[in-house]
Amino acid sequence: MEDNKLLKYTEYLFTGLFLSGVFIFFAFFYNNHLHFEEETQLFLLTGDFFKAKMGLPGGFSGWIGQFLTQFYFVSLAGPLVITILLFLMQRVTYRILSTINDNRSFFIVSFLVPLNAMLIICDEFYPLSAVIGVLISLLAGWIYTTIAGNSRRFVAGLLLIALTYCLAGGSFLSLLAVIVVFEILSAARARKNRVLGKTNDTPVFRMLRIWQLLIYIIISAGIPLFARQFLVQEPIGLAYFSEFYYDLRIEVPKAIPIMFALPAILMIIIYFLPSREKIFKAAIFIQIALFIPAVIFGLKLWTNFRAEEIMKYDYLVRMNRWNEVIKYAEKTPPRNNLSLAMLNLSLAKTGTMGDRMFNFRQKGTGGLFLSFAKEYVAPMMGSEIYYQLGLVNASQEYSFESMETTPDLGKSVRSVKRLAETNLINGNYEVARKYLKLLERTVFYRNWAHKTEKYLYNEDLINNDPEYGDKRKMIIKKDFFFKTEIMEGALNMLLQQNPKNKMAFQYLMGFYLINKDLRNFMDRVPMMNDLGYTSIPVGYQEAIMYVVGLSTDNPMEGLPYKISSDTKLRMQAYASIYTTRDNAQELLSKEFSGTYWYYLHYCKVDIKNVK
Amino acid sequence: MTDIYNRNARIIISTGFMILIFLLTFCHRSTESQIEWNKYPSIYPDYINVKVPYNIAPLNFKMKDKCSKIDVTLSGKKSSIRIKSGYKVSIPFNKWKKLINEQKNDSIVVSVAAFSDGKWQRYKSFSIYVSSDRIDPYLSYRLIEPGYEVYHMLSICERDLESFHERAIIDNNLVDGGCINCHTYAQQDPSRSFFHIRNKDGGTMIQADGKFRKINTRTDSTISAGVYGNWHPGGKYIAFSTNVIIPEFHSINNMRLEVYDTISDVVVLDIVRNEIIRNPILSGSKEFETFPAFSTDGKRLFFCSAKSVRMPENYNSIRYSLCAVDFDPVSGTCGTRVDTLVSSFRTGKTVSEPKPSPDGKYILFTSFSYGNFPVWHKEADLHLLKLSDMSIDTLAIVNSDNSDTYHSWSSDSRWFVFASKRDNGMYGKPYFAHIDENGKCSKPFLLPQKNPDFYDYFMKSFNIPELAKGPVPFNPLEVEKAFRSLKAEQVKYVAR
Repeated sequence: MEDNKLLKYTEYLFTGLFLSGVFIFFAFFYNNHLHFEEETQLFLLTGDFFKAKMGLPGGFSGWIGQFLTQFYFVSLAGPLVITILLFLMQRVTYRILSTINDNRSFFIVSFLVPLNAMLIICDEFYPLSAVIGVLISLLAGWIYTTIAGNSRRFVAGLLLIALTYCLAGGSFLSLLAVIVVFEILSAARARKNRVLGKTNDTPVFRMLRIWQLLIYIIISAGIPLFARQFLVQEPIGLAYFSEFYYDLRIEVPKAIPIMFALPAILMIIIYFLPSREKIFKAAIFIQIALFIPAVIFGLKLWTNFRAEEIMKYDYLVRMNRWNEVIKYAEKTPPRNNLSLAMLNLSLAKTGTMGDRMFNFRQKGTGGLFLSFAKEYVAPMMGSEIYYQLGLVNASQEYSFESMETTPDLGKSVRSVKRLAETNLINGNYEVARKYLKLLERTVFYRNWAHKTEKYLYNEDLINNDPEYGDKRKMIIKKDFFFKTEIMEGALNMLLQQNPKNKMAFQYLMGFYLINKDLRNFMDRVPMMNDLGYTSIPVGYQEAIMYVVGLSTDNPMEGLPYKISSDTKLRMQAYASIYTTRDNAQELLSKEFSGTYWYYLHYCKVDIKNVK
Repeated sequence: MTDIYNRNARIIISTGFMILIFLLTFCHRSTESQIEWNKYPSIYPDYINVKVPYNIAPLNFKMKDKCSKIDVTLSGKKSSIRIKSGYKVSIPFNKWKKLINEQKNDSIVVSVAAFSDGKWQRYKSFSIYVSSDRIDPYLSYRLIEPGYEVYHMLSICERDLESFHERAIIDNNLVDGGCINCHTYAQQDPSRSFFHIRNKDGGTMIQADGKFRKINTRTDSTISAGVYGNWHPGGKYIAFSTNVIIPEFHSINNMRLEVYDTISDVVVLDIVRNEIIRNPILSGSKEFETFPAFSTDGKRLFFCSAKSVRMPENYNSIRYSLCAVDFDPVSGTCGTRVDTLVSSFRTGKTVSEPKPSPDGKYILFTSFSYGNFPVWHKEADLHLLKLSDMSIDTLAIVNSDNSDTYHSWSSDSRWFVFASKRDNGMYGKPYFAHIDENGKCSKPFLLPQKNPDFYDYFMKSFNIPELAKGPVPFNPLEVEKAFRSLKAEQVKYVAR
């Protein structure tokens, strides 16, 4: 009795810890992945959208998966959804495993299925519909195992396999494996019980006949072929595995077959574990001892915290939380051009690019503008930069192309929203209306779409809007063919048209400084007068002092611009180390790595793409 | 106590009765208080006073203005259809078929009343003219997002115009994601067509009675593999353009994409001998030649030609003229004299996509400001060249403020289809227009859909719509099989 209580509490405690761990992990350590998933899908709450999904094998799990993914918009809702799904998964797995071995000491084995599910969704290419699909097949498996009569079970098996294929797609293979293993192991157990003389208290299990199992296998092999021939004509791999388990359709990663096989494998494992009604305390401890390293190993294998960092930069930029980007960069400096470009954009948006740009390690103009790539991340982030600069067409192009390269071949709510905005600014109201209509059919963007619809054909409202009006003031009036290689010309044109475009000015100066093109930089310093600068940004002061230093013996005297005494003092200190010490770089890196001088002297940048 | 109960019951019954009377009165009054408008209803698609073929699917539509209910009557001489619904009108299929057949060479009168703001509003009735000219009943088109450079899901579909049935006939997911394009019938005959698959194992797929051949039309002596193509009526030749095509992206707000050729020629492919026949007149180094199209009798070859210039510097000054050259169907060679039918110097505009009518009377072409890619030119319009007197009709009733292009004739020359971006400037949709025996066109109408909301949520453009007399004899799986099993036949470049 005591053991039973202990086991019950252990179960509660373990379940609680597992679920809390899942929730905390996704809420506080991996939340940006969820936001990223949410923004790269477009879920429409319409009958046509549902019908279109239901027309595909596994479409139901795809629909439910996308329906639930939209709640990732709310930071804590996503982790809650995942936690609940994994809990359900564990409970159903536990039920199935109990039919093979009802010794509760091995309950932890049933957590391996949700653990596996949790791990795979750490990779952004595995959608939530994969979890839903497996859950549906587990539910079908559980139902199957509860049916006692052989003929009823056989018919139910046929129906469940077909139904699971329709609703959940590829995981019908998982159900097939569960059914076959269940039949074989239950029969083996029944035989064993007969030998041990334990058949009095349990009904005798009669396995389906071999031909019946063969029919299951033939039906399972045939259903996708039938669907492919007459319903959905798609590549053969997709016909079996369906498109709702992995976003990149051209391949089926190993994790998918493993995920499908796992419930059946666990049934086999648990079959060989002792089934006596004794509670094995040691077994529980051993399982926990094995489970923890499995979690750690799994997280190491599946998580990508570098991507999480990029996604955090991206999320904060998407939400226009510019200061938070900078704060985050102070803690976690950008490790690649994607993050760096988002940081530089945030610096420009807060007007501090000239002051702080070189406080962070710059890696060339690739950290200012993101070149077009045929994938969805760089164009989406690049679209933010061009949008804020007023290069509305470029932003639109990047946004559209990002959507067209979304791995699951669907649409992206973030892109659609941006396209509505760019078309609104460009005065293409009917196209904007089309996108707004789509957003009106979403849960979280409906209000925004309704509000924005009022802007259609309302020139005054747009022109007086702080965001759209500003973009219209910045907008390019003289046409040219856009590409990132001609950004210098584009920025100069933006400034020529609107000398008060401070964003363009900061980017242009940043561009010259990064390229160590001090002549062009100096030529544009006087433009600051028109831009309302009350003091010269620190980075510019450093560059000016350097230029002056090259042409005069005493750069502290007769400076053409107002340089702060702090900059002068720092330059003196920098120069004395730079000119006198053999290990100058090492010494300067400690105190002066955030200066333009240090960048100029010691940072090698790739300027090959600059024209 | 009983009295009290009786009294309460009486009160309840009489109160209920009064409420019922009030409701009936109210409902009655609401239908009575009807506003008559002397204007047409605002409906989508715009089917007001359009001419349609008698074999078209029901013209379902919806109210563009907000309303909660509509009451629509479609009246003919013998029968009528009344539909009461929300804001959308779905016409019962069989009733529509009966009505439209009864009204051949006559009109269906449509009267619409809409309920909004607590009032019924009755609009001015409009007509749908039913032509007894049958349109070719199948339409193929490529569905593609109106993007820039990137595409992911492409399919070429076939729609039965007499119903709402649509099926994919080619799917790029089944051919390793390659670009699929330019599905072109031989004279509206579905049993002969070609299309390109652009990837490593691709080529030009030529289909005859459902049997495929895969041809590699690229040779060392030609600029590229075949691009824009057209069948010779004899079925032995296909004329192709060969081009180096460059896409560029505009920066200002009313422009999106510019696609231009840096070099181009026209070639003639003999599909029996797998030979590209050398025709110097179609591959001059001083001209860009493109968009070939054989005349109906097969004795002339029309094409567009412009003086070659440096690109992209001159992208907005290059203009193509419509030209013609004699063609010998026996040898596959062209004459030596080029006739200019529509001169860009005279019109100041460029010509694209000449399509001779099957009766040989007209050439329908696209006219726009410059270049050779009209899809992204808002000003692109269809023009009709009458070959008997070389007069040009600018088809004011057909064209819109946005791009109207990618046209194709019905086999009886009484209908043509084209892709128009008139609704929003971005998403191309198939519109059909009638042309009578005098060459007079009617107001075009949009391809009807079962759900009138369809176009609102559909995110693809209808690209290169082509009419056909019947369904094509293949499906995507057969294309996949041919794509994987066939080795590309290499063509030779020969002089004859």
